[in-house]
Amino acid sequence: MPLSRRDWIRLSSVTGAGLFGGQSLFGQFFQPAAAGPSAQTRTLVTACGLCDSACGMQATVTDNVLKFLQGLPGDQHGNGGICAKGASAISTAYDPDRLKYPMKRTNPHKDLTADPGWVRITWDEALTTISQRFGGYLSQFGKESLLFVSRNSPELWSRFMNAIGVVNRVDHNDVCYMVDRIVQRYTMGPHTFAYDFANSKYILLFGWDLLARNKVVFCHQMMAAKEGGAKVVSFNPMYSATARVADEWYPIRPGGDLAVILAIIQVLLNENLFDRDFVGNYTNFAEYEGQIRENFQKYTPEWAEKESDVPAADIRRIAREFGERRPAVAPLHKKTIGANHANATQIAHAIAVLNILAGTIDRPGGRYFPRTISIPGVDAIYPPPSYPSKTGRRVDGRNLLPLAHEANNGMFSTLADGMLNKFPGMIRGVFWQNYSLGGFPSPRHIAEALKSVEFMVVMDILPVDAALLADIVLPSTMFLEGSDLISRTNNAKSPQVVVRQPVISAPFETRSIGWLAVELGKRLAPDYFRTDSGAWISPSVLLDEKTKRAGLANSFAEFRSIGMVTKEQPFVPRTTFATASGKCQIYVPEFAQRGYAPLPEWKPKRDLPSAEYPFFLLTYIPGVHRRNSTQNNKVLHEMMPENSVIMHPSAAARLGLGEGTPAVVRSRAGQITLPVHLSQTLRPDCVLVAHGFGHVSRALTLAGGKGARDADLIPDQTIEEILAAGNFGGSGCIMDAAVAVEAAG
Amino acid sequence: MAFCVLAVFRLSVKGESLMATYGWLFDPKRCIDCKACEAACKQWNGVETGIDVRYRRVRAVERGEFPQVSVQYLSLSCNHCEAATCLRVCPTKAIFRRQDGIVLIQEETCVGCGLCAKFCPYQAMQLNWQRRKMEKCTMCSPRIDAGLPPACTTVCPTRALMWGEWDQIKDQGVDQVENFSPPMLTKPAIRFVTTEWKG
Amino acid sequence: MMTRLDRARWFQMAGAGFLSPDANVLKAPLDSLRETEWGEEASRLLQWLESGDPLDLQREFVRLFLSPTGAVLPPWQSAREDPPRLMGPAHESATRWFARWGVAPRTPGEPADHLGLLLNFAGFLLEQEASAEELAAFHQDHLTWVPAFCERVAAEARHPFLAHLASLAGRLTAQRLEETAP
Repeated sequence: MPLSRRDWIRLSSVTGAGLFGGQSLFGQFFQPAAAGPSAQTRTLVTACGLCDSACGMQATVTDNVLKFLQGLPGDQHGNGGICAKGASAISTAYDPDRLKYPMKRTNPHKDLTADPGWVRITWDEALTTISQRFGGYLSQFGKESLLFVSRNSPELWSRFMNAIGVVNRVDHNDVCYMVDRIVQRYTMGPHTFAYDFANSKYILLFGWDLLARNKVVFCHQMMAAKEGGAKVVSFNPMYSATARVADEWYPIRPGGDLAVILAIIQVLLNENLFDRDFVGNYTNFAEYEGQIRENFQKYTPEWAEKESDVPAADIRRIAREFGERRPAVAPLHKKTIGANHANATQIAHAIAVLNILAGTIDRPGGRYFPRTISIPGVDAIYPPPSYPSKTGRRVDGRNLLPLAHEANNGMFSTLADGMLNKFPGMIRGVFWQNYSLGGFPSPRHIAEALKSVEFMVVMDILPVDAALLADIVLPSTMFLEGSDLISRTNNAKSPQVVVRQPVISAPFETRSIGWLAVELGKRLAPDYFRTDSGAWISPSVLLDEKTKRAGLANSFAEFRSIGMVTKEQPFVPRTTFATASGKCQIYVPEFAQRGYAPLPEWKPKRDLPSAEYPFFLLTYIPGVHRRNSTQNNKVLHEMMPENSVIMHPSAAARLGLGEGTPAVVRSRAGQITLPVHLSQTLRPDCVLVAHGFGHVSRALTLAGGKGARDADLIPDQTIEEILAAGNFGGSGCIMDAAVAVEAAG
Repeated sequence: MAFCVLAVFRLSVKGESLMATYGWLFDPKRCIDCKACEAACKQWNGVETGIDVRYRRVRAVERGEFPQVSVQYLSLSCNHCEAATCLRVCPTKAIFRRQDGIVLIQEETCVGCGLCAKFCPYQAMQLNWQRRKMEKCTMCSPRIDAGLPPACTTVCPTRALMWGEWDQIKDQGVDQVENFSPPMLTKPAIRFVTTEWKG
Repeated sequence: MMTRLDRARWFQMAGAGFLSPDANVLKAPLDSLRETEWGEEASRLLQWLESGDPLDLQREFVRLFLSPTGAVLPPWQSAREDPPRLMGPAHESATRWFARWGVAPRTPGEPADHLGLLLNFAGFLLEQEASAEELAAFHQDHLTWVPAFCERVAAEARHPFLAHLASLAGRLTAQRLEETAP
């Protein structure tokens, strides 16, 4: 087709000389493209990336602009629905505050309030600088000189950290599920959050509050349980959306859960109400029966009432119901109880015993191990040379907690003490990815510690507070822009894999952490990032290979169009368990070998109310926010822009506080100021503050300066305190504080 | 105010109304206050944020005293009433009803006077003070025209909020629950499931 | 009154200035603009571009438009909406404008409603002798916010090159696109 005059001019203007003689200024920024608007609307399947449930989603996209996100019919996790956070993820993708280009600091003075003097750099300069600085520290000061505050995923990233031998990788799991993971490992096998509520007949909730957290995968299963006639009993100092579906709610004293669980076990044992077949065949009960019976004998319901405020008669009745209405289960989840107090390890162990006695480990209606499709990892597809040993001092002292060390998680709660007091100057380079200062107990201490390092890299989607202290800031993609195969584990009686695909292209110069792993790997540990043929590992080729070897499709591109694969299969209960004895372990010999109690024992929580600090502090994660990461999302921000100090009206009245009165909340760790909100839904001796607010950085246009950090009330810890408390699972104690409240002056 | 409501009520009895074709079915016991419906509504309709314009809103109402406390959750939007008062009081006749009963606001004609809001028993009419226009739930009428259900109902993780043909819905539940204004005045196209859990 | 082609060149230069305030990109165009009606302005811009530490200009550019810890004035049309966002209707509209004229930005990650792209494209429309109707429509769709925005940039900027670039872009867009001399 001959070019029209207009076409001819256009092409010359774009590709030729244009208006400025030697060059086309227009052509430097524009290129010829297919003419005409397409206005094409497509629906793509993907998996949410906000929490590890990873609900299936359908994305409506018009001309590469994301318009709508909804659930995916047939998805076991979302059950066709999604939560407010997932539905609002578009507003995070299009948040104008997003990090856009790599930047480097030119003002050497680091302070949360000083202008860093950013200049834009290319990715190449960023990668070169990071490699040189980190490489220099490694060779000059050894592996212990680097700190990676980062998850151990994705696997390319973990390969990179292994390849350079990172000793000090620290993650949030001591303030999350580490304790439960450790206890499960020795009582029943690998960690799982899968509960078959739909087939349960009796569900005991200790702090478990996932309906109020809007964990969709558990919400619809709990509805199914209720429809199936299950009885639900909730123990929680506050009444929430979870307590609301319960048949009975007990406003238990904080920390008293352990007493109630021990007493329930006592009744189950004394009245022989446990599942004799399961306990006899698949547990080590018979081997340790004497010790077990003796251990629990002293924990009577009458004793437990004094520690929990739950009437002894109710404890006894509930124990009997739990023993008789089978199948029964007692779920445990992360923050809702697993890391709250110094007695979290004992609670996790006691709940494990409860489930073992109920005989529902990997049985219908109980806690089970997810059935998944095996997807080979990068190390299986491209076997690496042997990794270097991880020699060096551990900055958070985790090595003194052998079980936590083995779990390769943690420790937020001891990091500041390690950096500032135990090993000052040891950490020279920091890589900080996708974490908020507000996620740490006593965040001011962590900020202080970070100022002391020579070189810090922050990679995130948004300008988190830590970016104010960075030397280099790297812009990250988010899940809507990424690719992966997501194996489902929270509702997985049959395996199901959902695709994660870029429903929109990565904006600006954002990159994924997997891409960064390969690029840094090429520069710092090239031998670990080549394939057999000598070519560099490519994340997209790797994904193709995984897709093929897992039998999902012939290529990742093909699986993108398929979206989801479910392999229906009958549920065959396990008869052996992945512990040393091959059985579920009520009595844990490995605990005894290390000098810890082999059976759960009563321990009170650490900080108890006193004359100076008369209230228990409770914190919660509101259902419309994801930890510290969504407060700047305009839709979610509108739903809940800030937090408050929630109190019972009678307690507030005694202090002269009314609805909306500004109040100072003080603990031994620090203080915050928030308006009071009155509610009948919590115990008068408790004060409740939502987690996730109080971002410092004004770069978060909506969230910056709104609300206050609950974490400022939470004492951080020394490793010695943890050891002395018998907290051998290393709980970060994110609720273990007592507070005073007074009108703000 | 009472007099005005009465006058409107009489008007609405005389005025002709189109029967509802579609309606909401809400099961309060299944609602967990997750606000996914609110979020989906905002996203699909591109509703502005920061000016408190919400076509759909989940309300939480505490009842009783600790420890005998409970909370009621209600996810409510425009109920596209068969005898809509908003439509009758609008001084510029900007509010109209489609053949299928969906009540809509004609943006060009609306002057943002807010009179409709004063007469809506369900706080459905939202003033966008930046644009000086009233806005509200359209039942996602463009989606309905394309054969799709309203955005809010597609995300609800517990199936507390449902939508469908009014003929199918209107006998499935009751027309009144606590904290929901009496329906006899405006005949809202919503029903509430009040049966208890089977267990 | 400036000729259509001179105006086109000024628009393209201003657009480039907001995308990449870099002497390597801008020196030759500014040199040639010294012969236009605003020749003195081109000389001053050139002087500010080449004097002083180039890092100062880069730092100020980032502080104003791109800072990872809070840009003063994000330069996307969608980010000027209330509440601000990215990839809003203005991005979609600009994408359609570009596509209709058979061009696309070379930087795929950059939203189409970046001030620099819009100014550059306005220059392209003038260069292409787009009809008065088309020029009026583009101005209405994408340039009405620019004078007020540039006034704020001019007031905020702590580097004379950027302050002056902004005030020139403000002057360029204060006059409607279709009101260009033939």
